[in-house]
Amino acid sequence: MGIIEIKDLTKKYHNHDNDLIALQDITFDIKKGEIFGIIGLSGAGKSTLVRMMNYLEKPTSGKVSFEGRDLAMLSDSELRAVRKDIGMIFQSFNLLDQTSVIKNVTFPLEISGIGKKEAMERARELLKLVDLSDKEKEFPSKLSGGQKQRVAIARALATKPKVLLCDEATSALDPKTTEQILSLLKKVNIEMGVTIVIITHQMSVIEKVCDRVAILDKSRIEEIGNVKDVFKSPKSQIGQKLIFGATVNKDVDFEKEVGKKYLRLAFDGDVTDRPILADMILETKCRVSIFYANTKVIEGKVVGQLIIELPNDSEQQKIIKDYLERSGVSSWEVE
Amino acid sequence: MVDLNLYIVAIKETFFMTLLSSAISYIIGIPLGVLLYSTAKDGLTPNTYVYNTLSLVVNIFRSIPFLILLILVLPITKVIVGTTIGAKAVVPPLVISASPYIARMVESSLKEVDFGVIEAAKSMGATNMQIITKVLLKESRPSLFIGAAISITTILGYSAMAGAVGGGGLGDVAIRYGYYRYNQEVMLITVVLLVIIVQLLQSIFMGIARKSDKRL
Repeated sequence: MGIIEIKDLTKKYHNHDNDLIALQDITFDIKKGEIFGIIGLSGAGKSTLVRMMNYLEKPTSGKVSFEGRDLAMLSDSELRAVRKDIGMIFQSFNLLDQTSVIKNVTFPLEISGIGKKEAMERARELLKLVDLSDKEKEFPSKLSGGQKQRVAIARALATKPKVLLCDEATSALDPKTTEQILSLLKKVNIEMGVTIVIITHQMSVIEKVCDRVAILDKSRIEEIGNVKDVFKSPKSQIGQKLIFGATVNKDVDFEKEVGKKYLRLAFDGDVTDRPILADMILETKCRVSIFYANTKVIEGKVVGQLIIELPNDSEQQKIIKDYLERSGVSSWEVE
Repeated sequence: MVDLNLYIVAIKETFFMTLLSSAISYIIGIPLGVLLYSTAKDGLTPNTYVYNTLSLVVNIFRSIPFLILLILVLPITKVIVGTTIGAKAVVPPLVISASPYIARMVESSLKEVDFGVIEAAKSMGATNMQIITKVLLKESRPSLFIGAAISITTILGYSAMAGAVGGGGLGDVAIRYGYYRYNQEVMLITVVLLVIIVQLLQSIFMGIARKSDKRL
């Protein structure tokens, strides 16, 4: 049983005469203790999906359960109690601008009726966790983006939630700060056992911290699985597009010779610091020619694809494929 | 030469009318403004019926010229303060006129609060009441003070109009001595005094607004 279970979820918006479908037939579970990523292009419905996990938005049909309780069946006050078990952070941080850092962190405790002294103690602990102890009297406007997000994380953790929802939490941050926030989230996940749901459009975020990933496109889940598996060989079109940074299947146009076999190699940022093709040729002693290459650097990592023409000998073809598999390079034959 | 004492009494009366009316108007206007904000289409508890009704009432009161309202509510004034002349008697019409105006000012200040912050509070399990008192009214404080500067100086302007019906204050002096007796000197002095008071109130409230804004 997942800590959050989503079943047949559909969300439609009424816009004058036509219905806009934001999400359709979404079903998946988020397991306790994992870091679950949801990736998709803008407009894919990610933010709507995450907002239904704490019922900030209500589904048109379908069910969202938290720890086995259907959120639709809860009274307002029960729902508010559940929300204290589900922290949330946002792209734009959403701190109280007119309130000091420490008061921002005590805010969720204050509205839960926890005494001032206890709240301050807890807030100081959390500010220590996010490494902002020296900023407790500052106001948010004096902080950098990364510091603001750390305050937001401390605030979201104040009520000791079981789940932390992150809605594009690193999208407004530079790569270095993103890295810091992600390691903080990982720390929160491991040390405090908080289940984390990450919504993002950045593949690198998923790759760095997530255990499992769901790929959302055009209101539906196109693909879901362990991050390792999905990254290695994405099955959906959108998955390939997001992971390889280019359209993999369709757009490459070259004249195939009849009877020849072509192999597509995908680089996902892990292996391109090695001269993989040169190594392959040296080790397998097989001659291949490059037919097409398209790689690019995305956030410091090389992603892309390479299409090679295989030797005619099927024995050699097998050697090449085996080599690639051993080296951790995804490859498949071009149809 | 008009007695200096006359001006002092008039200034006192003007301040009395303006500040008392403003205070009462805010006591009425803040809840009204919150109600307008909350029941609006994208508010905390959207309610088209309540919003439209309230909005209509507010607009009706705002469209009645103050001088007309002053006379229209005379019976009510009589009941509340027991008289229809003097500075005291101007307070009820000022409040009736200013409260809807302030309600709109408050509504617009609350609308400036970033929706994301409200969403964050909701995600923490805050009740609507907590969102109003601890998020909306707090986050919009600088804007509320700027609104107060505008509202109070407007009320001051209205209070001067009350002179037309013997309401006391600087407006009263301006009309009785300056206009009816055609004493240009009195006219000029009262106008200058009014300008100074408006400047004073405006800069005090803008100062508070600036000081209270932690974003700066």
